[in-house]
Amino acid sequence: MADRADVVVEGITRRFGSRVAVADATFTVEAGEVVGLLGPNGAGKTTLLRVLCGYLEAHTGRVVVGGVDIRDDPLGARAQIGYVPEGAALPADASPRAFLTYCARLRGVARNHRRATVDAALRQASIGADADRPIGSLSRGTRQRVAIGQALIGDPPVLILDEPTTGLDPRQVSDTRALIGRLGRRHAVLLSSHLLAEVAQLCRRVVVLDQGHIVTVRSVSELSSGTSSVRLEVKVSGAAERAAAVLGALDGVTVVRRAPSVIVEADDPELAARAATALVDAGISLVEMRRVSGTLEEAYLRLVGG
Amino acid sequence: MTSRHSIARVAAIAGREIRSIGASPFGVGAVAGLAGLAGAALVFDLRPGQARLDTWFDALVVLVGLLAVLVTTRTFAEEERRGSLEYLLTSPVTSVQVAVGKLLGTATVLAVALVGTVACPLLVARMGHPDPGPIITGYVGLVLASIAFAAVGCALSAATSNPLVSAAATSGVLLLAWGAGLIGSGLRGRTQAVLAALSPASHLTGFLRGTLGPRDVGYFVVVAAVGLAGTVAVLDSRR
Repeated sequence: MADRADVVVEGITRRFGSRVAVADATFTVEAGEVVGLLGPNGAGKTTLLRVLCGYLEAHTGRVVVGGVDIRDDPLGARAQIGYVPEGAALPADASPRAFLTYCARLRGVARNHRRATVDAALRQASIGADADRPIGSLSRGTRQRVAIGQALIGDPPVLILDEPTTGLDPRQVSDTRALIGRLGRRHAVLLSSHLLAEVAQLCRRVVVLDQGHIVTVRSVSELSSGTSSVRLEVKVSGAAERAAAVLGALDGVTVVRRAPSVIVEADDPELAARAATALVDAGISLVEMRRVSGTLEEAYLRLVGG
Repeated sequence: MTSRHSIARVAAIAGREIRSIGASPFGVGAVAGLAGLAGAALVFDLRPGQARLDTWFDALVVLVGLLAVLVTTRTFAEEERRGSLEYLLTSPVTSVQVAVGKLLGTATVLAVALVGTVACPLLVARMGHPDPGPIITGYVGLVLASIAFAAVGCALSAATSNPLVSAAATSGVLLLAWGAGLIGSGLRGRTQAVLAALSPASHLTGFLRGTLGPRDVGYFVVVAAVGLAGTVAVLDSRR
């Protein structure tokens, strides 16, 4: 599966009338990795996902899913993808088993394999005990697992998940994240989420989209530490506020946090030496000073102008 | 993709449609409502020694048209409003399979609803001696009209995510087609002939008289085909 599981997106542009929803998007997703798709509301994330799964067509560019070009063979490409749309209603009258069986029929799973395929998807999505109850009577978290379960029918190599944990309670969020983490070991997963902690936890790389344009495609660790400025965490013996004032008075230094430890940032490779000198000169006892990296949230906000 | 796979996908879509409409309170209410209203129409229509049920069938056609409007709003517009259409349209199925499956499903629901009205002519048969020919051909005409109305409704439902807009548009188109016959009856010559040819009412007359004319059958087949082609075109253009 590994060779055929990749998603290749090259120069995708999608317009609605004169409005460009996605412009010249290019990135890849490889088998065995979860890639996060980040961006503010209206950035074009859902439009991009809909183009990838064939719900919308791109006006320009190329999408290859599992080795199949979506323009040349749309049905073949769609067969390579399991898609969980954001907040889409499931049929309330059907049971998870009946709905997944319907999905299996749509995906052309042979009658003699259908039961085993549905059972496998129910098991993978941890739906077991609720498999024969009407979907309308299930909790939101279980319904979300049913949505993920339908995406697993036929074991497609690519999974596209649009805000899969929105509206779930903390326990359900944790369960769903664990499930996505497991799926990410075997599949190429593209995960759209507003929750940066979720992306930081699950994803190896992120694609950041803003106003339809891809701002960056980088690994989470690179993005979090990807700044030319130096950031220091300074621990002093008491008087953290005073230490923050002393450091904040230095030329070009920004105080990011004032307590319990002080975090300062400056575009200066000699920041550590200057900070240590200033604190000693001010009579403040320095306990510890270490270089720290930024968070994904800070990097994201910097990229999208937050 | 083999034709066997295509048929299996169409059957899956039609089956889901039948279950989602037919097994819902809306579906059960609609079928029961049609049977009840058909019975009420029969009470007003019955006359001693009556051999045919033309007026009753006329009322039934209107009721089936209304039911087609209500049922077809759920095929695409309601599903899109709820978001569930995304599951179907991102599956490896063609627009033709989706359109045919949805049409088969809604037409089956309408046909089942019509079965519920068969009690009326059976009741008349117990009380008198109605001519069975026009009743049988009348039902053939009703089934064909149901398929045609459903096809028009599906196409308009696919064009909007608002069920109210879908219902209004389908009602408008069916009323316009119906009105064409009425307007045409006040005119003469070519215009009259064209307007009459467009109206479903003028093509149902033959069925109610006990005939199965190829022009009348052809009219409903063509309307159904146009509706089906329209649904496919709308689904493709949405992408």
